[in-house]
Amino acid sequence: MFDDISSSSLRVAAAGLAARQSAIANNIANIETPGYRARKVEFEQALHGAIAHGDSPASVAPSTQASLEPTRLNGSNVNLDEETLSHIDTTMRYQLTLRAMDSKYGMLRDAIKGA
Amino acid sequence: MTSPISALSAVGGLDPVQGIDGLAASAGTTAAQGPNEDFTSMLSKGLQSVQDSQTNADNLAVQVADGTLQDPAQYTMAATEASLGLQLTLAIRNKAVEAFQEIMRMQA
Amino acid sequence: MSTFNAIGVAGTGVTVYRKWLDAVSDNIANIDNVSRTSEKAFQARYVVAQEAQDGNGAEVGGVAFGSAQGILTYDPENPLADAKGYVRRPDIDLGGQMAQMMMAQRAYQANLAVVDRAKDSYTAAINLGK
Repeated sequence: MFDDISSSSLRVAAAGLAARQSAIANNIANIETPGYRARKVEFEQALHGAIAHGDSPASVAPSTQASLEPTRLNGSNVNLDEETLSHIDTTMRYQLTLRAMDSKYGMLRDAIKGA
Repeated sequence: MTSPISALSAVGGLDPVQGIDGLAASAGTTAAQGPNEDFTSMLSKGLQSVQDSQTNADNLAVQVADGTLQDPAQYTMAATEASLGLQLTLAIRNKAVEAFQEIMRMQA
Repeated sequence: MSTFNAIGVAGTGVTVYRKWLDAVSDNIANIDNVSRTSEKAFQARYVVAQEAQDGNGAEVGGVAFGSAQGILTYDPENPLADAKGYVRRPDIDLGGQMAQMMMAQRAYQANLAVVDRAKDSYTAAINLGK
């Protein structure tokens, strides 16, 4: 019942966005740490590919990679502008994803209660 | 000014015997296009449109998940329409069942 | 960031103006660099902004450099002075750089304001029908 494509995609998205939030927090905390490489979380491409292929989205897991951007003078390659905007984007997408799941659960609940 | 007696006889439908026959004759023919048929087709059309709006909301939800949705309001509007459509259909069904039970109570 | 596109586009603007601010502050920091006449003077850095390739926002197309000749200044006391007593100073006008800094800062803040208001609009869209 909760295995349809949209429910499992939303579940993967929620996990990926939560991982991205913590990666962003880590990056911003380490903005002056010499030798630190920014962490980037990827899951959108994998999810899109799995759905296009017809595979179950449940098989997609978010992956964390080190960013290859050039480092700044202090040895850290964290880009503050990018992290700040990514944080805003991630927060809002997380809200939208949760709203989507809420809406699906709500419809099931309405059907059960018989309105 | 017409006389009251002739006015009464002009209202032909009030003739009791003919009136009941007329009703019996019409009962057979109106079943095909009476309220029952309209309600069934209305309900099935309503169910179909609820199904469609849920499918639409699901497709947009997949786009929300993989970040390709162009306008977030499209998703929330589709989700709201699907949810309200479902609630409306359920409300109509409940009212219909209530009305049916009301009629059954009358007969018994 | 295609779902919340306005934020992504404003983000490219923020990056461009930050790079401009970086260049201007670099120019101002080096405004009194003295070099020998045999070398190039410190060249002012200008950021060339252009519309982004994919049509979403702006990007830095490249960097242009100011005059390498600098201004020949007569300063025989200076240890770097050549035989005739000349050194090169950078051809950077402090007033001009301050004006650029104000413009860059104003543009940076304007883009941040866009991000802020877009965030409010998108939040309203997310909460629609609740």
